[in-house]
Amino acid sequence: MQENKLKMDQNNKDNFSVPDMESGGKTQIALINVTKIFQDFTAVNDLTFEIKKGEFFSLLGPSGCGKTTTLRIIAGLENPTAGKILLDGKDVTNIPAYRRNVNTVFQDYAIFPHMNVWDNIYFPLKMKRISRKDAGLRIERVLKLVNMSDYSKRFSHQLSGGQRQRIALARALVNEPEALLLDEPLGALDFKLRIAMQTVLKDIQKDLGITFVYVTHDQTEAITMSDRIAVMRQGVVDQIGTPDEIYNLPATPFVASFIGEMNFIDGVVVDELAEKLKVKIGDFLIICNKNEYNLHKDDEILISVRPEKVFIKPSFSLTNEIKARLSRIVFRGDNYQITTTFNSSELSSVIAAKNLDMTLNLNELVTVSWNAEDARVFPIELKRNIIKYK
Amino acid sequence: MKKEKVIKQTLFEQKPRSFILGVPISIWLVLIVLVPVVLMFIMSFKQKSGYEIVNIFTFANYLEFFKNETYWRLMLKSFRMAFIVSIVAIITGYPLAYFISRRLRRFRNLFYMLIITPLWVSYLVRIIAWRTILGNKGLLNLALLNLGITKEPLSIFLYNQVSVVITLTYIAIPFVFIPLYTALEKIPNNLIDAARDLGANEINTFINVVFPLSLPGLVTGFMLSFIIALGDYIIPAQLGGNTGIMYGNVVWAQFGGAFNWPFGSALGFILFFVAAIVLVIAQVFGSKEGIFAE
Repeated sequence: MQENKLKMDQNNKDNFSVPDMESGGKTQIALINVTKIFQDFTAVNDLTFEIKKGEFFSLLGPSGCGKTTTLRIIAGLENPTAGKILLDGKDVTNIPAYRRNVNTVFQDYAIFPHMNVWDNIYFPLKMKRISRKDAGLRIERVLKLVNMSDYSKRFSHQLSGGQRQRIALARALVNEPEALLLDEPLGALDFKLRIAMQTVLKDIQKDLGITFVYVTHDQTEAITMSDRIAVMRQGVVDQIGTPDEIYNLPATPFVASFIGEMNFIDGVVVDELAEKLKVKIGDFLIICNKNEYNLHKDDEILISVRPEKVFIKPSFSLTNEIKARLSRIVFRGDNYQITTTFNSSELSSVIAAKNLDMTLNLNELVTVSWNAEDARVFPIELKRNIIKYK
Repeated sequence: MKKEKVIKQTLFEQKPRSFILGVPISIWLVLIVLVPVVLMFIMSFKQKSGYEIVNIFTFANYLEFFKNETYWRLMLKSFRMAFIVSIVAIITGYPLAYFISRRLRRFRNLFYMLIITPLWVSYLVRIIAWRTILGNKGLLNLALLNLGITKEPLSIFLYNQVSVVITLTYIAIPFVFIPLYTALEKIPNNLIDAARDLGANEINTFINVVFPLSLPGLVTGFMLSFIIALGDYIIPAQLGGNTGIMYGNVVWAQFGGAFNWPFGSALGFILFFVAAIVLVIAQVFGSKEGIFAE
């Protein structure tokens, strides 16, 4: 990941020809050293990445991380303080929003309240001087696509949240944009409807083959829908990768803490082996795999390991084994969350309910173990970026 | 059974309470609005005899209005003037309200206050102020003389319809500005963003989104300005001279010098009904209230 980013930086410094990335597919949108400063607040800080044609690309991060600003910069609704935006290889940095061939689905849909559904969808065509007669077929088609054919005479206030969402989508798609930008489109919907709309969006994206740039703070949404995800923190991208990479090989403790559940343990490197590190955590010695952070003997480190990779009293042998006291058992429907304590550190593990075939007693001293390749190590300085939910 | 009881109880609890809440405003409405109007309405069917008002029921006052050309011609003229005033006030007030509500980031409240401060100054003082602007030795003439555009002071600015329309417009501008400002400020920014995103430049965004959404404010502003201008009699009396007389002056004369309260009341009610019709039409065609209600 890091290497790719560097390569891209060098290539883009002087000319606009953005090379295709390793997995093929043409670059649709490229951001090059984009910075946006509002008065004294840096919303986006020197951002460089590219989005491929036909890709479902998510910008994921907590509120205030700059993801919406990034989207608005791509749309042209915000001018970057520095940097360039390329659409299909053309520099569009100074081209206003109304002349860019990308369309946006806004967070609260922004349906024009004084126009009915039909006129709302006709609006972008009207701006292209297409007559009402010629627009009819296209509007019909796009209404059918979002399954709202019977609603063309309705006004915004006569529609439910999910229906408004579909109309906003239809309106953004009727112009056949090169890319569709979606700003937390499902944020205002309730849980079940959100799940249903996720499928609708994903299906439409697949059918039309249009690039989707999707802003969300919901990690589950990003992971289930995206081809690639950029995880943002305070105006910078911490990691770009497939959902699998983001989940299993988080580049920073921030990414590790933001996506899913994660255990963090402090430790000190006591010895370096060929591909491994020998690490002291509390009273125990464990083995960790080396990674791109190049940590050495005597470095203080942070170790991350997913709860589902931590086993209690396993019947099989794993790389690392420690003894910890069982302090909490929580039943969560299809699984149990079991918390163990050792040397004032906490470790939680998740065990599928159907797999819990042993008896566990509170305050019992148990064997807790995990494999070296399921843990990641980071320099201790990055610990401050861990997201803590209070 | 139990459920029914609960529903009945809550109904019982809510109904009297909401009724009680409405009592003060109802008393206020009846005493301050309805009673005086009804009294005047009754008055309009009475008859003046010498220096006394006789308690007989007659339509003579209303018939007099239609028989005598002067009155309905004056009414038409007043409508025309009030219409011009409202249109000019909107043409001046709209850009002002648009600029302050949608373009200005800092000092927005300051400008808003500056525009409505004249409302705190006495009506009469503001009218007299316009006399010092439009008069023979007024600011306007002084400026024209000093700029060498005219050789002698012009008397065309004062004591005619023009001076009345100018001053009425000045009075009406804050009343047009306030509802327009409110309507424009209420337009969500994301609608503007959406319009631009969907291919509309500044002008198209204004024509297709901003202007239609400001229509309720525009209609309210128009109505306020129209009512203020239509019924005014102080400005025509002070600045109108012979040609600038309006309907309000005639009504006023019936209650003053002519001492014909019944006829004055009848004239007042005719104006009231005609104005009401005009305003209802404006309301029906222009207003889309509750447009942002979701």
